[in-house]
Amino acid sequence: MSSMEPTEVKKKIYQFLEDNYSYQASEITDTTDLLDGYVIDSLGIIQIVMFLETSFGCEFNANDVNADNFKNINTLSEFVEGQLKNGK
Amino acid sequence: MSENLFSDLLLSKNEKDLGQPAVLLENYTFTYADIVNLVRTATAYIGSKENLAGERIILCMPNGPEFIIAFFAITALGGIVVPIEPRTGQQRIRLIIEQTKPAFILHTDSLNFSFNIPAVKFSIDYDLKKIDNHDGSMGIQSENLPGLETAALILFSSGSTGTPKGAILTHRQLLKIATTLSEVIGMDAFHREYLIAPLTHSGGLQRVTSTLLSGGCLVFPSSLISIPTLIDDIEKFSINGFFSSPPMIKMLLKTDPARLKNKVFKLKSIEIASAPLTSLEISRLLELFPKANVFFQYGLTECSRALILDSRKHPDKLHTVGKPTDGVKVKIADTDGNRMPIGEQGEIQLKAEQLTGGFWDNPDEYRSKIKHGWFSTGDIGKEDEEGFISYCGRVDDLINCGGNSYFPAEVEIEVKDLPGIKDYMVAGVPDPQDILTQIPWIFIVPTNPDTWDMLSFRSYLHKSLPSHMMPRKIVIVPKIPLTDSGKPSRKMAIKLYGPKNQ
Repeated sequence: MSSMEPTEVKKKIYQFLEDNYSYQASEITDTTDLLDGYVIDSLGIIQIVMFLETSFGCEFNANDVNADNFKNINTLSEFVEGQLKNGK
Repeated sequence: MSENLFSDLLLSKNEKDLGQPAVLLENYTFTYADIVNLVRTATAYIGSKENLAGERIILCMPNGPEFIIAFFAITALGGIVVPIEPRTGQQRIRLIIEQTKPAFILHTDSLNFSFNIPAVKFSIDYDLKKIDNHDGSMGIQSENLPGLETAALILFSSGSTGTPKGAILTHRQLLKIATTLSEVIGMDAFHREYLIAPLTHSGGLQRVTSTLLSGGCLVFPSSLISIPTLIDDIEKFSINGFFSSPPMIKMLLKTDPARLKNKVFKLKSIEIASAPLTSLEISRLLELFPKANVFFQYGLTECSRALILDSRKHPDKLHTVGKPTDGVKVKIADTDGNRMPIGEQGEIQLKAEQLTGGFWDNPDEYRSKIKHGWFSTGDIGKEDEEGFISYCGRVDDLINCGGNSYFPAEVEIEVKDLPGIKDYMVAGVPDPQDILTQIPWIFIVPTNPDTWDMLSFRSYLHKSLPSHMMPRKIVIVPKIPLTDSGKPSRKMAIKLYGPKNQ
């Protein structure tokens, strides 16, 4: 994990990966490739989108669920935080 | 022209139909003529490697036009497609390779495994509509196409001993399922099929064959699959139908209905498989998609679409998995093969045109599945007075995680030779989130519990197993419980160390 204090969004993503995929924080980092690294599967993407929408009250659309935003924990949390800043 | 998948689903189209869209993806349209041309050139590209008649070729690629083109090209050459999901566990891939002895692996992305067989990259230039690294020459001629009884596909399902078994399916059997689906769903040339299920399984692959048989159009998602993607794409591409496993549906049911409003009115059908939904969930789904028929299919890798329930037509039968499809016979049998009385539970046994005629390189396993001339499914069911079948569970320990079914032995095989472990057992427990049906847990008896490194063990499993097989919980236990006859008991392990005791 990053040496910086993780944001609330990051904490939630790590929690999701532990609860649903049995990952410990020591096994993955903010930059571990979630898709190419086979950290989550297609069902996991569906679940994490729903989890983040429910947790933070944001709303994804089809264009948001792309490989760039879901590359790693950094990109995903940045996207969600951006949505929250924009009030989406 | 002989009858086969390529002829019946693609070459048979007339000139007008050939101009119709067959495959759509964001910013690209492939007409039937494009697909026929690509399959013909792909037979030259793939077939130049060697004579493929009867040869097995592993197709290891994600959903995409490449999979469809390669599937038709290999089968047109008389080859047998062995689809493998790119995320498949290493041991499973090794066992499938050992059994099928493939000529080569066809892939699109870099492979995350390495075995001693050739790997051939296969990609398509979407703009030019040609096979990459190929001169465009055509391959197979119509007169050389295989016949209906030629094997076209080997689909691997889980084996109770951990060794996967490969159901062989012929051109005839795949065409039979395509015809059944097309008729039951009511597909026609206006059908637009949204492909979200993996094409490496019969659930997704047979939606491709049935749509093409109907002259419809296949649509790939515009981005990674999610509920927002599904909702937006249904509207954007005017989708008529899709096939899904229950987890996706369960999550769809949790979506605010306002997000679907005015977006899904063109959807005419949803087909759902692999695990049961409750009657209440089905009723809510029918409300959510008021213009769509919702079909439930019961089938196996060995016999796809054996039973189908049209839930809007039979609202009083939502607790069942429907009736046998055309040409399928069902028997609810006791252990001696006798037909059970109406309403009483027994094993679901099948006879069907689309039923596999054998497992690749494993005739003993197939023989063990045939009981008194009927195929033994391992599923428990009962029949009502109108011929509707209810699914009541399994006779064995098969785990159903998110629509993926596998035996615990397939996970245990990854563990058996690891140091520091005296005993182990994998079992399926109910998913507490009620999304995946079951999730796998592993019970471990370490040689030395004080020094055993659970973190390294967990990391090893993450690298070795696909996510649906990854144990969600690793529980250290003093011993694996045994039955009175001395056999390890999963039921007792769950009772002693399962979710209620954690």
